[in-house]
Amino acid sequence: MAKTADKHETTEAPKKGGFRSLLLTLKFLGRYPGRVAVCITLLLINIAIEMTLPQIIGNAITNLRWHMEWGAEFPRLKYVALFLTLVLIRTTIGHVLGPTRNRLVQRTLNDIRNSIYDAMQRLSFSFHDKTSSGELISRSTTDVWRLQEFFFASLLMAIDITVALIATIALIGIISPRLAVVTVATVIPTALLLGYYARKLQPQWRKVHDLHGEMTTVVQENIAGVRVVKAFAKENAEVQKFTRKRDVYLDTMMRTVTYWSTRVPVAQFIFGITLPLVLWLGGREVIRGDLLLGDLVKVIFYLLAIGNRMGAIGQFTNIVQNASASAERVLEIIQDPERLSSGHKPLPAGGGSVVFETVSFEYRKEKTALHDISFRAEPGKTYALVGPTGAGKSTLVHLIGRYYDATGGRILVEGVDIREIDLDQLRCSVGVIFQETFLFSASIAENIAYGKPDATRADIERCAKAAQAHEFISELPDGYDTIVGERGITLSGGQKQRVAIARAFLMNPRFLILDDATASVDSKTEHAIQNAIRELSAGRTTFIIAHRFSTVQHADQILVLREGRLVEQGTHAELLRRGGYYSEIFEHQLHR
Amino acid sequence: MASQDHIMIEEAFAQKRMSRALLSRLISYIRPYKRIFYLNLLFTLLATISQLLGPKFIQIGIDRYLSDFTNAELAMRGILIVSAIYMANLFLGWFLSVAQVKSAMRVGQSAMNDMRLAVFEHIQRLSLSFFDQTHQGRIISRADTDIDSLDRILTWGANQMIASAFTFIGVVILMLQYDWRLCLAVSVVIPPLAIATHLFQKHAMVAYRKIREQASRITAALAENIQGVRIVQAFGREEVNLSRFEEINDVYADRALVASRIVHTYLPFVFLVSGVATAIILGYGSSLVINGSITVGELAAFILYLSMFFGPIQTMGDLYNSMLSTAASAERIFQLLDTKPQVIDRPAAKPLPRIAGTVEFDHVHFRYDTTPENTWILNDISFRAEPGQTIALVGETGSGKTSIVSLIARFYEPQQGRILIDGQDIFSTTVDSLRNQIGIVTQENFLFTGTVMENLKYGRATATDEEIISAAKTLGTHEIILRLQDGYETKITERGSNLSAGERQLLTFTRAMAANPRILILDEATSAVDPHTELVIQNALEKLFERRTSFVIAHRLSTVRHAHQIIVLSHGRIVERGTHEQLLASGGTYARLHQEFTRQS
Repeated sequence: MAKTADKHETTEAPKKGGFRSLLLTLKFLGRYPGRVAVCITLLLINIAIEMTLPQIIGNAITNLRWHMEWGAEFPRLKYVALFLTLVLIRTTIGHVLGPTRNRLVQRTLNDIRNSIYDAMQRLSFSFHDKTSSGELISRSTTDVWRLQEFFFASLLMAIDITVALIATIALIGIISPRLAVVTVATVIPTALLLGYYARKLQPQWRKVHDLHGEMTTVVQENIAGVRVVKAFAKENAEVQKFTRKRDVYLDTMMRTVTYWSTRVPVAQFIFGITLPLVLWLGGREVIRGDLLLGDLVKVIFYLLAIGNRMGAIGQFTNIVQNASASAERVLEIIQDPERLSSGHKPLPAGGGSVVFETVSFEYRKEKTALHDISFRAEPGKTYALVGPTGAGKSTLVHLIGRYYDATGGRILVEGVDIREIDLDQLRCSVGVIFQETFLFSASIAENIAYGKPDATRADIERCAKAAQAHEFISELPDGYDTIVGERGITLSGGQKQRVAIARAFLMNPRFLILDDATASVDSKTEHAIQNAIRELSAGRTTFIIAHRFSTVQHADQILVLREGRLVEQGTHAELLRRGGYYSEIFEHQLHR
Repeated sequence: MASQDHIMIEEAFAQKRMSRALLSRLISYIRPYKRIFYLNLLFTLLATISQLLGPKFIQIGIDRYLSDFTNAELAMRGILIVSAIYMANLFLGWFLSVAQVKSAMRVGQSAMNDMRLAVFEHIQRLSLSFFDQTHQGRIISRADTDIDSLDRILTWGANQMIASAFTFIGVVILMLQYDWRLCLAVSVVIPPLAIATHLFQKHAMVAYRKIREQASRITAALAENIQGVRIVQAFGREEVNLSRFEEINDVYADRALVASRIVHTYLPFVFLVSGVATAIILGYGSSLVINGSITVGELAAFILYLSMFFGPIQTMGDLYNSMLSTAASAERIFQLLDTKPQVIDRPAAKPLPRIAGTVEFDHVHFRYDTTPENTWILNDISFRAEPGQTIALVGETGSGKTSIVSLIARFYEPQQGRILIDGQDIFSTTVDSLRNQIGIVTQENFLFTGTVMENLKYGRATATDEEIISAAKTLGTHEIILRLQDGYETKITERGSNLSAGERQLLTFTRAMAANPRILILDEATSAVDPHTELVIQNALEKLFERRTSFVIAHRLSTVRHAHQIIVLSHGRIVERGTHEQLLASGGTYARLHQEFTRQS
């Protein structure tokens, strides 16, 4: 029980290295030094004007009082004109500064996003195996949005708060050192408290957020699994489950709100008492004649200017904290060492020979390791890989296209070590049809031409015909232009598979890797797929991960894998005669 | 089929005027918390007053004790008293604002959570026909994003409306009380400000909508590239994809710039307007001071009150916008709540006692809601299954196999004909009592997040761990479960993605076995599994079929061959029926299908 409770605590707390990572991301800003300088300059001018305006008001009041007391000249228009001029300048700067800063931040973020995107599509499969796609998506979206917040904030808010605070306190100090001391005495604890509360609150809000997520998961699963819910007549139990989640959520939410609503106003209250204190202490100085009333008014206006910024301190702390954790996760992708480096030799001409020389592959414990695998695949022949789940069949075929690097031994393609061959050329020579067909949200034609975007429509149709897909594609509402994938129509498993075969056809690969798993399709479709695959593998060196004996029997060679080792190799007849593991499973299957 | 992202975007920007009916229905969710709600309004009112008083203290201090005093001693005491009252007022304000926030959150969150539960409960009651017709993403966003979007209005709506109206009125009254001419002069800035605010909100909404659209394109592009990364690398598409992604990003940056221009036209304009107003106070106000109409303290207070003037106008505009999108969300939620479930217990329905397992279809005709009027999905189906028999349903995709089993579980109701269980019309029984005696294993092999054990207990929450384990042992799945990372305590990730297809299948078998149903419905999955797992599956199936009436949509030859009765369907009709041997001998559709079967395996 305690174990499950712990698991809920695993909210993404920022790690120690986070802040350093955050500073590292600032380097991306460094690509545009000119723009950064312009933004900061404009900001400083703006603050200067903001600091001048209370001076004008205060001086006007002083002057007004002198005018009334002993008839001093009161140049009313001068004050108004000066005030309006400054206001106009500040308005203009505000109008220019915003978009300038926006352009700068957006460019920087585009750079970051593009680097992530590129890094992700080039990282080896080992990285993608250990990181779920949901995790990667959230890193490249949510985390980047948080960085965006940070860039906006760091670029102005931090400078704005710091400069304005220092300037105001200095200006108050010039007017009255005593009032400056009062201000410092309230502003500093307020700032510290706000920062402290923000740090305290963040994990609490995150928990609220997580609980909200759990509630959503219940809803999502309930709807996705509606058939199971109804089949077991579990509606009431589901409602109870949801109610429990909801109660915990509401409780945690209210506890957090209570913390927030009692603490944060405390800080504001501390700052708030500056005004009455200044009114009292400053008022005493005015009465004593040590301070001009107009100057006291200036101080009051300065305090208002600080007050506007105090709220932003908590916000800034939050942004920095969020962004620290995010920066670390983002940099992890951009700087990941698991990127494979391409070789420099072009792919040699040849018919498609592959040699494994004492190849071993060791990865984390979840992934099957391979030990000491050696074999030679002749051009144009078909090799069936047989063995129980987890024997290493798919790891082995993935090594050929160098989606992983072998950790021992070497793999030769046409006699050359694949690490020396240009990676793009190598991969383009290997056609892969995976067990689960992934189609992109694009037209069928674009999906077929995925490896060769400049293919003509005639080429595409030719390949679709060879893959026995032309017929059903023609019957779709928009034929080859029908959009499929996430945002298009849904194809059946069998249809998807044939599109994938057509896609491989068009690439005209030298090697072919097939995961011979048919989704549940009716026998007619099954037949069509089998024919298409036979067509495709003709003349190519083919590796099939076989699940059915009908496929295995047609292979030129059968490689039997068990626990990462190549235990038997030969033709169907040879292996049966030998009476080893292969014949054992075969017998078993036959007797069903 | 639209993706979740698209639905969210499309719906997030829908707007609607808040009708009276809609509003009163929304308010009905607040009604249970009426007392806290009224208290909240009271706190808000008092907090606003306390805020409005701030500049007043400064003005009084300046006028009474700082500008014209005769006795310094008295003035000293006076300024101390004013400051002390001012501070007390701040303290009161702090207390009020704590009470205000807490009560607002309590009302808003409670109302939202009630609504959330109402939606969830209602979803449980809806029939499968609703789920067939409605995209999952839409249903999810009803219970999720739609309710979340009510937050602003339910929690802060009344609150902010009162606070801004009261602040605005309060400021005007206080200014009028000082001097109506100056107040009028300052008021000239209100019309341009109101117009600018209105224009800004209109344009900013469109601009932000475009940004969010593009943001979701970025997310979609990233998601697709990540999910399809193996294909990307296999086909060497990295360069092309990157340049496309850069384009999407550039569009995003452009749109962000457009929005930023709008914002940074409006905000400086607000600053300009307040600057002009201040200048008016400075220019016109000073002459009023000179001719003695107002005091210096009042002049300063005017400027201070001016800064409170603009907030309410912006808040009101903002609130109006939230109202529009809230109305759209609320309407969608209420629409869902108003959807009537199709399969409900008839008034006189009685619970079905423990059954023997006879299932009889008597001239059943059936079509889905989405089927065209003139076609039947099931056309005049009649058959009888005796207790303990295994019935194999065979036929091409779309021949009606799944529809038959869905009718047995009463996921849908037939338009004509009767379905009898142990001789009782299923319409005369309660839905739950029927489904409790039926076990269903579908092809999707859906599992919930949680441990393996929790999933296995899904069909019978009262089962002990031992009972579950013994069910698994009977089925022969115990060893396979033990081999999982943490055995029965293995955590299943969303939709069981951390298990292989074979493992998922075996778990759903075990789940059905543990529930020990009288009638078993099974849609055999044929995902390729290794020979060993296949063996376990076939053994498990035999055990599952024992001593209960079983309907199997069969894909495995062994299942079909051992069935007591094979029903061959074509276009919604039964075309052949009999045992394996009988049907082979008659040399019809089944014999042909069988040939293909054998060729495959």
